[in-house]
Amino acid sequence: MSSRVETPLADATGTARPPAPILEIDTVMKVFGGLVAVNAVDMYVNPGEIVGLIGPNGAGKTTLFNVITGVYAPTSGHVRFEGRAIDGARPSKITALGIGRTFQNIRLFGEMTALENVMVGRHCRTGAGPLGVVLRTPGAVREERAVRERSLELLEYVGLGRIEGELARNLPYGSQRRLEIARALATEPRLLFLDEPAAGMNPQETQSLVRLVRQIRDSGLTIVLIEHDMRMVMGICDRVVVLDHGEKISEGTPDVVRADPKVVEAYLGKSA
Amino acid sequence: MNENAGTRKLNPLAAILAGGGPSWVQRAILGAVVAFALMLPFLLQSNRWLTLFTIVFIYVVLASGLNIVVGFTGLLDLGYVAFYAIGGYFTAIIMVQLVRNRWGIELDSVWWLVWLNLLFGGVVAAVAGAVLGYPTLRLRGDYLAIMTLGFHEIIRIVANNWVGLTRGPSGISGIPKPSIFGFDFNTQFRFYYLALGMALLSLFVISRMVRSRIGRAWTAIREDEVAAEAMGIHTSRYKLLAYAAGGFFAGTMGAFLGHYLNFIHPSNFKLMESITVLSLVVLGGMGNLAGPAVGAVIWMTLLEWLRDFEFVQSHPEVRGILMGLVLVTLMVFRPKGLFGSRRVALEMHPAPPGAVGKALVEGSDVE
Repeated sequence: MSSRVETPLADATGTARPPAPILEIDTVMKVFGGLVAVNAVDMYVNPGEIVGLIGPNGAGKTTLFNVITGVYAPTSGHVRFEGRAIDGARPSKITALGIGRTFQNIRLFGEMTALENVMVGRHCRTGAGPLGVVLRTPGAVREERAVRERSLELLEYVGLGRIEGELARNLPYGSQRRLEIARALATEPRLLFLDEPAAGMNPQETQSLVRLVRQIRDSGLTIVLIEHDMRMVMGICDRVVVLDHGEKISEGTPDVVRADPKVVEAYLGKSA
Repeated sequence: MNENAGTRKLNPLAAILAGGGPSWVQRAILGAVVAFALMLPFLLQSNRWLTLFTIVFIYVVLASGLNIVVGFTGLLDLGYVAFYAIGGYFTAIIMVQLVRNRWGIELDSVWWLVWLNLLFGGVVAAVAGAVLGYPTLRLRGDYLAIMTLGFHEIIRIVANNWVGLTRGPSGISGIPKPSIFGFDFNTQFRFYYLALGMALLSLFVISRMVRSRIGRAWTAIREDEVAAEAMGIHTSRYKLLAYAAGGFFAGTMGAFLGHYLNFIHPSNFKLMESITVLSLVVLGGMGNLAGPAVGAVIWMTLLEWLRDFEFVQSHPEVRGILMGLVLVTLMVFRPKGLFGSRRVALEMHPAPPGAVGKALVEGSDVE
């Protein structure tokens, strides 16, 4: 954990902002050619929060996710995770540091089984090398068994028990979304990014997804989610950040954001 | 084993061939195949077929090694035989050019060096694989294929033109036969077993690698590189590892070829060889352990057997035409190869509408 100097000060001055954010985004910009996808966004996430990231299509939400998780390096600005600068690091490194993610357009390993998909997520928490796996050293065997057991547990946890042998691409849509979550959890993240986890789900599926997300948070993780389903966002988020045209236009509790005229305008257009 | 469950709805025979079925059935089949291979020389009693199968075993290893790169990791490599050449020339240069000609040491007295060279031919080729792989890390598909093609040509042209090192087009002769504590591998019969042993050992090592976290990482890269990286897999490192592992097996077999033929020549490593090995992988089934091995046995045997026919002897190009014809036919009816495993299961159980298909249509936002 970071040893932030302002921690005691923040308490002393009674700032509303709790001491050490798990994630800080400091004037991050991402420019593609002439397009400013993310424009000087500041944002923070506190440990144990569920933060919603919303905004109209093309607002830059997924780009911001991709900058934080290392798919893109920011054009300028910084991203700090647990006090450590992570901008520009490779995605695998960021995952190893403790940030997990799912993808908006499901990116499972289609021709691997559900179980294998989750086992891949254990990759960064295991270390058997070529010699170990060829010779089946006791360490490698133990590790492989642990990976399998933990992965089965995780499948069970997200409600996908007993389908571990199915190919990922043969699973129904809702299960694929859950499998992505299980795979991300397998990397042992402390901060989990969910990119439109409820997209394409029916109301019942969304309901059980909400329960799952809460359960994950209650197990000690911090969650940031992009979502278009407003009922879900308003229902589970502690705080909501609104992006539009790459800029942060509003931030606060769901009630505050809902009442913000700028948010209404972004979604419905001027003088709606 | 759970990894087989994806194919469980296939008919039993297809499932077993695809690497599924109960593990005792797989083991029984494997045992039967190995037992048959061990008895074969006694059944055949013909040097010609023993020679053929010795060559087939080399191709079994080459196809299985290339399968790591192309089938499991999904990197199209048209220059694989370059590593085969590196292994072959490595041992030829060490044994003949250096030890015998430069140092004047009698080769019989350093018989152990042959065995070391089988290993180090592989190691050198593995290093070459990683070094050559490094500049290709950002390339995919066509571009990668063209670059690997270039590597192949570089190696072949160097072998052909660096006369001082490789003796150019005249090749290097006098590479010693392997021997161990006075036991010489000087008959076709003995070479058959040596090749069989090397093939079994290589397949064993490859199978352990692909059924591990390393193999999962390779497959994940093939399936979706962005997601693989996001799951904590250092994709560059694992691609290089795939090149190195593939190169290793080609290198050992190249060294073996040198000691087997006693002669290494640039024409052993023509582009056609790379294409043949790649065809074997495709024919047998990419990304499937048994496929390329079985594919190599079937196709190389078939192609050699064809030489018996007078018509083929007078028109050798018929073999190439036949291979092409079979490839095209197979691509129409079994696009995943003879033993294509998982795709078979998929075709029988199409993904529900809106599943992965939808994700594919939506395209990739992070490419």
